[in-house]
Amino acid sequence: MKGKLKIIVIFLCFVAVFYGSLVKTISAAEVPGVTKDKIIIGTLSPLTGPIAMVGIPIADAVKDYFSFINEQGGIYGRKIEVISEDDKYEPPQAVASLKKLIDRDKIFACASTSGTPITAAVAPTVGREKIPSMAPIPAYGIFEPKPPKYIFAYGPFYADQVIFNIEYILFTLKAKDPKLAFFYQDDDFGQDGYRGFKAAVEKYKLNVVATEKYTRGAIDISSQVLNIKRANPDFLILTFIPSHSIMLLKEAKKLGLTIPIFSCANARLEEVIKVSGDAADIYHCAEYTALPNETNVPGMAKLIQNRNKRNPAEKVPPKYYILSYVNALILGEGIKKAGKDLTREKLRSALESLKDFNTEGLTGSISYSQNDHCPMTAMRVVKANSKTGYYEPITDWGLTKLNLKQK
Amino acid sequence: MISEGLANFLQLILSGLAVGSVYAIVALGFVIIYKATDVFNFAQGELMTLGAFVCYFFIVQLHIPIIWAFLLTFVSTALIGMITEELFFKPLVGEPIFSVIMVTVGLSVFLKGVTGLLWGYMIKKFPVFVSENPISFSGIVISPIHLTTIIITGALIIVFVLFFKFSIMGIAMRAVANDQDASLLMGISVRRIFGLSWAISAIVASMGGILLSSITILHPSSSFVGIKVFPAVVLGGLDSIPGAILGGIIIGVVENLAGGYIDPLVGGGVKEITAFVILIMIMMIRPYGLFGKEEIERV
Amino acid sequence: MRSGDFKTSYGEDMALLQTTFIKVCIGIFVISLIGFVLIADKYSIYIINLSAIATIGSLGINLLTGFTGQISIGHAGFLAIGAYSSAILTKSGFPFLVALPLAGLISTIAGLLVGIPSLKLRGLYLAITTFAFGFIVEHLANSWVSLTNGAQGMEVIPANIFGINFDTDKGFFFLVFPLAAFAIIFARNLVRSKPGRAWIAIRDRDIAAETIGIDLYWYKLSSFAVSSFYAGVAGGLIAHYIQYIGPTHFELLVSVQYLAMIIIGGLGSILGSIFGAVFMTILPEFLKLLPDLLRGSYPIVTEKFADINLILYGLIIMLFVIIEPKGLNGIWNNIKVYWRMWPYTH
Repeated sequence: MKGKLKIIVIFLCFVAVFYGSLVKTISAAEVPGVTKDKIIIGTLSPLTGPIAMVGIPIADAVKDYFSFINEQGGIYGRKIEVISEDDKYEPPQAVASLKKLIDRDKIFACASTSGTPITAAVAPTVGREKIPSMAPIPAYGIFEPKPPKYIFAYGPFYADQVIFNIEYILFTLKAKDPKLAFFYQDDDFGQDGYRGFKAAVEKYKLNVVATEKYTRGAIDISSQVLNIKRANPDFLILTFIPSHSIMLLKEAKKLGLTIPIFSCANARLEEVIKVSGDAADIYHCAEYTALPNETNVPGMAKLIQNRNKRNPAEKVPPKYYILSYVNALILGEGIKKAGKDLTREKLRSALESLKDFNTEGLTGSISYSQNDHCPMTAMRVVKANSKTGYYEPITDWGLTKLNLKQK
Repeated sequence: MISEGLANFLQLILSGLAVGSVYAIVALGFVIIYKATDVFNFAQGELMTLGAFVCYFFIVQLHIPIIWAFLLTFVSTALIGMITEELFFKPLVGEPIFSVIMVTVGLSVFLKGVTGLLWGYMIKKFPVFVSENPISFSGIVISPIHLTTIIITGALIIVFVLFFKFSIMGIAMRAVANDQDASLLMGISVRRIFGLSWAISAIVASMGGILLSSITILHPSSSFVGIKVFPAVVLGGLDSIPGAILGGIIIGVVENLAGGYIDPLVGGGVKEITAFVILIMIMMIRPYGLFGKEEIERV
Repeated sequence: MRSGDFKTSYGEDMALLQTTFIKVCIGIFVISLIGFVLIADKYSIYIINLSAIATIGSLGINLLTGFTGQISIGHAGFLAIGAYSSAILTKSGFPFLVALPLAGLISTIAGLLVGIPSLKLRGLYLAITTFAFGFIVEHLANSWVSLTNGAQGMEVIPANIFGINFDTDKGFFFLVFPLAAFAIIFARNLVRSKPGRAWIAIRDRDIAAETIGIDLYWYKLSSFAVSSFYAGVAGGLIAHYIQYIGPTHFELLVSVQYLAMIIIGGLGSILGSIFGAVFMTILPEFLKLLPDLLRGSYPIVTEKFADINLILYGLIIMLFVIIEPKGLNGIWNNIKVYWRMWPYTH
């Protein structure tokens, strides 16, 4: 019997140690993540896996911006600490990572809820925990018809960007009865782009000669490009991810398809120009932030200066860095507006009452309301220039004429 | 000048051949390991991507001339393959097949992490080693890199068929694949054969990685092409080298034809599932594939 | 050696828990688990709940692959069918108590369909068929927009039994845990009775099994059926827990994770399924906590911790399997034998 007793005791010790390591000490902060001299902000984004090229800049931008704020003395004397978690772009992982940030790291607010499917998956948790969060991607599925109470973003939906591109063709290029082709990734964002395309086609009575799609992960789209070429369109509208934009441009050049191609902002990466070379000269994007080469824009100059201080190796801020930097700006402004007596509810209402927030040229002005947590901000059409490796704006800032939100 | 319809058809076939060649190379690397060691290598896609990045490292980061860089890449990836085999698969000889498969799964995650750690996740351009100007004739266009891929795949078929038929090493590998015990009795060093098969497979994988990264982009996400391995090897027969190559090529061509002719009729989406439709059809009609051998089970 | 352990009735001999010692241990475990859940933070409870759901799923796949020898690389497909069925049913007004078992049954029908090729195919060819199945399910979830809302995914209403909403972590534990316990007991009993023995016979030598009179069709199909039912229920539970599902939740990666659970846990062992499920769920979280410990001393680690996590994850899986191919269950058995024999280990 003694042997068995020993085993039971050891087993119980095991159990105790195991549980002990999981249970954490209960700290005495009234508001989670806020102390006299510190605010803890979390970010959730893919830091590994193929989408890491989006997720890493998102996390970096938040860190860099708040380092800048800390150097200025913080907000009401509180320094901001940023903790980043990897969600591997897998929804169950993301929920676990967010819960860890909330329960273990005690974040006060979240500066990035990662991409659209992740945001959707963590939305119930965000709502339950009532934790104000910024989503980097303006996603129709999340913010319409009624926005989640605690999640904020900015920018036009993919549908709106497609409409903006089409309106550029109709009203700026003044194309007469243009023949359009549409090509999209068969995914949530591609389907949103398609929604915009269909709306524009219906409203403006447009002639569609080809519609093609590809599945995420396809390594070849040559047959679709061939189909498009055979249909002889005047313009090609896309909702793609950058890697496939590159494939498209190469294939288009090879097959002699030289019509202007219009993409959404998510594929406005300098890498697209770099890898496609001169095939990129027909590539246009609808873009709603300033461009990294626009150093005369005060917000962009400050962003680049801040970034170079912390990351001197890379000169050009990636697109998603700029996007996320604006989110950090918004969050910082919200925290400031919420006042010295900081609570999550106060932050949320501060954000919701933000009107005409000026990002110093990085984006159009941003205004929130109770019913709109993702305002469409101004866009421009930008064109790729393979000689400089950058994009150049070819229109002024504007919104779409056809507003799908008026329902 | 040929008619537009025919030009279209040939264009689809050509592109299909190019894509199919990439599938074929991945499948080839997979079958080499499977044939010799019975290991179902889930990490084949990651080996490909690793090979491409290693080559990138030599060319861009060490500024080594291209030909030497290729050779160095093959040598290093062969070494990596052999070390992997020695460290992780040697101890598993005789263990149930599931355990071995699980190790390849772990290996794929490990390699993903290594590639991400060393080279990051930004899209890169693979150094150009063939002209970028498309070649056109009679209304059909092909890019030199696609042509190179097709030619290399063709060469690989010939090389490997000859290797396995006529060289001592090749015959030894077939013997080990067929019956390990008998091979041991005949004096073949099964250990060395295992290492050799991983080395060869790694070299083939890096070739595939280099070609794929040249056609598309240099990025860790390229390892997802590994999924297309299944339809290709099932079509060709799991233990047939020419089968793997032909299987890949056929799938590439059929996919493209489906994309060109069926997609416009149904609004798209057919191209992607073509490979799997073929997979299911083969499983139902002729499970052992075009060239595979039927296994006779004895109790 | 077990001494003083004698049975005086058939009932005692067939009992699930054989000795008082085991009963006491399990009792302590259950009580301490419940006690822990009552005081722990939500993150820890979330992990425990995920482990419990994973246990149900891994039991299912272990029955199919570990006990019956039918390889399944597409198991996420069954999870997906269960998840979407339950989500759609509850959205259409079915109460949760009805929707969940129905979801399991719908998944079972899928399981039977997938099981039919198993009668003709073996080994890796069967594996590839199941893989194709998983792929098809994912593709359908993505494209059948009217049913599943496509790539956008769909919201799932929280589990609701007789008016009580199970939408907090703590609350959900008290739903999942009894279900998992029931699943474990049911599986254990299946395995040590006629179906279980038939399945093991099929796994070991199916032609021989047929010659001694085991109906291959019936037992192979029933194995698929039970396995997919478990997976369907697990899928439904995940759906109602996270309250949101999308096609990307059920990719090949998930199937591979379930395979990993049973291989690392121990094929053909109920205890192994539990070990494997818990281990695979806790491992990524444990790796997440590592950088926090090292944060101060090694800044490079925190910079690239995500990649290092991946490397460690892959390495740990590989090393585990290499060191003990029989998995955690094998290690557990080794420990038991060691203790039993101690100090007479030789």
